Amino acid sequence: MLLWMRTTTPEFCHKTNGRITLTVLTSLVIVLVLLGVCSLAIGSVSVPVQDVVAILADSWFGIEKSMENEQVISRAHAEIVQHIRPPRLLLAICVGAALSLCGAAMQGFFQNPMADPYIIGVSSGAALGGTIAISFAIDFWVVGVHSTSVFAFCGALIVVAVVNLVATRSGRIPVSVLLLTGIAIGSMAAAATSFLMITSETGLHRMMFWLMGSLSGRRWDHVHMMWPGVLIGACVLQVYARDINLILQGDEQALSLGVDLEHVKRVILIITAMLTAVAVAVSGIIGFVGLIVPHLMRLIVGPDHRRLFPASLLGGAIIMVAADIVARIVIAPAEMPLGVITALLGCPFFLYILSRRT
Amino acid sequence: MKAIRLISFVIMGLVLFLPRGPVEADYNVVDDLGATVSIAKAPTRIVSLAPSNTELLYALGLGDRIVGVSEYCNYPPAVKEIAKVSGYTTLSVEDVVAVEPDLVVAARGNPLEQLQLIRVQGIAVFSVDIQSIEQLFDVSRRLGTLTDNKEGAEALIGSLSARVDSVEQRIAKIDGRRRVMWGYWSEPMYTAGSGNCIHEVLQRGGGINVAAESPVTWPQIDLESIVSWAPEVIVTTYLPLESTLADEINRLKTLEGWRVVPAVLNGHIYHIEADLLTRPGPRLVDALEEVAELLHPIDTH
Repeated sequence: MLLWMRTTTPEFCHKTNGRITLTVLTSLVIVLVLLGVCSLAIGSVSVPVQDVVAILADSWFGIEKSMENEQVISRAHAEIVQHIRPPRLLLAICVGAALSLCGAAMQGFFQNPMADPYIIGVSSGAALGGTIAISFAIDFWVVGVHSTSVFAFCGALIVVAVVNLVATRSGRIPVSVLLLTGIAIGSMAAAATSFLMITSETGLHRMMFWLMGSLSGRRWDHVHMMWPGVLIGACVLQVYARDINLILQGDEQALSLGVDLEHVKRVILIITAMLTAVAVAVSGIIGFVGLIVPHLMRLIVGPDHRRLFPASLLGGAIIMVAADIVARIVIAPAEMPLGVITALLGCPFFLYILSRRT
Repeated sequence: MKAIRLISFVIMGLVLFLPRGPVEADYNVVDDLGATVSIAKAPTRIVSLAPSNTELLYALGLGDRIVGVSEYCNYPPAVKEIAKVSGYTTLSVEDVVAVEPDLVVAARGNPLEQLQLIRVQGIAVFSVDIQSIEQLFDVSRRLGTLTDNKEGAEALIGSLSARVDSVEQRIAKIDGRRRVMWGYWSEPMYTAGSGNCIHEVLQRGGGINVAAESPVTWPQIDLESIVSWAPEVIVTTYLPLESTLADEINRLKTLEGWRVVPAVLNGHIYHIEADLLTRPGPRLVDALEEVAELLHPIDTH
């Protein structure tokens, strides 16, 4: 797999030309838009499609056509379609995009197909932070964001910082040391999390639910917290895409081609850590998206990160929106944890694609 | 040496020929798991493994026989003096056996394997699973039989049912039930469907439980459902530590979804002590009186 990732770097693989990539990206956007519309129309409460259209037309374009329907369309339905489902949709897009983007960056960074956004301990740190908040009943709101999210965010960043500190060798970060340090410290945080879960009987269910990831009850505040990060992160990674391509050919080669290796590594680490931490703080720990989507997209658009990044961003958003729709309807009005769906449906699909490919 | 051998043989023989098998049981009842519980003589050392059981045992007048409780047991205040022998879902068989009980009163949620281990020690285990006020009376009656305390049980049932009747007679005269929901507003959100004590208290207290149609007893729900149910009153047993109910209502008034729920708009969110409403014990009747008063205040009728 590593061989496959490396030997097919752009210099060897110029067959994926710009037009095909453009077609792929355009179709991904179209799929995302269609799924988005479905996501607004589907939920535990069934709102008739014409009402959804009328409500949205009314709120976005100020079309007064719905006035005659005023009595029919209840205030509850209007609130659901305008303010409960859209933030969820946008968050699903942001979280999916962030995780897949980081997954793609991490796989390139570590030159390892097993890498995912959580590999340097972000998820374990977030899990520990969130669990601490729940188990000690820390309960407050910061600009509409719950303490569990705040703690998760801090936990993620603290663990990543510790991993980086431990792995730094005289100003440089050897990739293999970073990988192993991430796994070791991640395991330690996971052990602490398990300890807290076992000793806190009353919060156990909330912890489990939170750990498996959900977008239930998320609001505009969460969207505002997330979208600037995704936008900036995507832009920065896009700028460094070419350098990551060169890193994949080996450190020596990259250095000889004039890549400031340590600088690039640091930028990628910081961007992915921040993006993943925000995603995890908002949605809990949703697995497999960050691992699988980049591989899927690599199969479609090839390994050139300049194409892989935007494709992963869109692909991740699509998978997450789809998963969130499933999460809302399978056991409505209860919600399935998102992590369960991404793993349960995502993995067989991925294995199928993989088996057809090789 | 010979003497010691002889004595040990005699002891072994005695042990072997001790009366074994089912003891002639004077107190014989079926518990809520369908198991027959037999005790030769009225138990004098009782362990309670849940707060609701502890409260019920005290109400039955058996408080002075309790020798062990769970760490969540906090009522009545006298319970503080009693040894804590278990958590709720965690249960140490050793700690329970160490206080030498002759009856263990377990509750739904206690781990069944550990209960079986206690039974194997020859200790009677009576499992309780109360989901309605009627079942509360029924369990009281059986516990009364098991502990040779039928008078205590009848007295308790008499006074509780008189209070329930008085609430129901008052509610019966009132037209217009109010749509009510039990719940809270942190994820994941749960509410009470039908078939549990909270549902019964809400209904008997003069409300219509908006989640009554749910297919499961404790449904997990999303905000969409709450918005479309449009409850007029929300009864909550949860409050964030660093906040007051008034602050919480004001916060909800600004939140997407919540701000159109009638209970939020009109500020009709009430807090009831969790220990009253969520413990299937005798204080359910206290909760019933409180809920009835919240939904239909006495002075206006």
